[in-house]
Amino acid sequence: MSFLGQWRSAAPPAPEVSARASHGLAQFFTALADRTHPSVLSLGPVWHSTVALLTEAGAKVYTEDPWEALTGGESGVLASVQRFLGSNLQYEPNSLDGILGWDLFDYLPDELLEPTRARLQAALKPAGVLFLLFRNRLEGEGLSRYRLGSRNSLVVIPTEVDLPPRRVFQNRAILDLFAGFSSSRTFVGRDNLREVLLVK
Amino acid sequence: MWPSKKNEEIPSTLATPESPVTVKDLRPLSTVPRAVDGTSRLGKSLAFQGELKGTEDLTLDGQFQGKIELGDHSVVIGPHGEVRADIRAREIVIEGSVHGNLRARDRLQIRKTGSVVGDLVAARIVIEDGAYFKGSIDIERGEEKAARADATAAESYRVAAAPLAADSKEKLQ
Repeated sequence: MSFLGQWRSAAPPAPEVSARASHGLAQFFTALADRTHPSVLSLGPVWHSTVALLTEAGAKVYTEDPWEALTGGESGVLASVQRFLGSNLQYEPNSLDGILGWDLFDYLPDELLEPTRARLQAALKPAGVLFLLFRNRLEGEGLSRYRLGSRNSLVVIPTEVDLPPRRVFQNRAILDLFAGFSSSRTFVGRDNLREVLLVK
Repeated sequence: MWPSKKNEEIPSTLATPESPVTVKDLRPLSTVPRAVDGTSRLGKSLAFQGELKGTEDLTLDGQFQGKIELGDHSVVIGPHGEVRADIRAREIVIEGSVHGNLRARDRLQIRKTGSVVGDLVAARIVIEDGAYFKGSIDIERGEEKAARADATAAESYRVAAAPLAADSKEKLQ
């Protein structure tokens, strides 16, 4: 093995970025296509490809990263419910056509599940769409970020942030939490993620 | 022996056909006037509060609070810049921290060191991965710009026509 090869094998493995096809995203964009200059909220860090694909679709893009409040900043202390809701997800009722919520609900403490669901649902316009991801297992899972790879694919970007997901949602629990939505569709992939598209 | 290259013209990457640069022309940066390229600069030790308007490019690396309007010119918020202001310009580049709404007639860029909280409107927006952003992004398309220009023109025509109409009314009376 060459010196370079040895050095590389000694280094810790870099988080592996992966791309996956997404039927849920394809449906999300189809739903937006019927709307004029739709408003779309993408949760998480801002990614150029996500902004570019959404603006190319004619959307006005909102972005914010509610995971910041969950990591607690420098103190490392989990944010309180008031702190989370005081600094996140403050949108006018019926103002958004679509929300890319990714896997936010896997990370929320129990006390924030219902208030966060209520805020997102209230912010959506009638027939607005909410795109979510849910894990099938917790083992080995950390905090991943997501960006759009295309209108029907997403890129999964693992991070080294110490914020493990809190739970695995059963399908029944998802339906119960989002019972106020008019319809939902679940897309099961070959990996650890289920996609759920909810229509208000 | 290779011939000495002292005082020869330096490679074309630094020189232009109109103004060949020779080695003897190169001076330490501190001796070159800063505004020679028409760009004003607010250095990192400076703090300013108020409204800034003008017809030249601006690089801002200090602290600023208020409002910036530079019409056809560009604004660069440098890596040390801390700005709480709405900014309107032809082109805006953010490498530092900005709280405010930004409107660029042409291009708006947030570099990976940049942090912006506010609403963005521009014809083209580039956000480097790693940048921090919270707010909204709206692309102003050609037809929207044209509609806005028409509305502005109609408004100014209405304003200009109003005194004339008043004059003619007085004459009729």
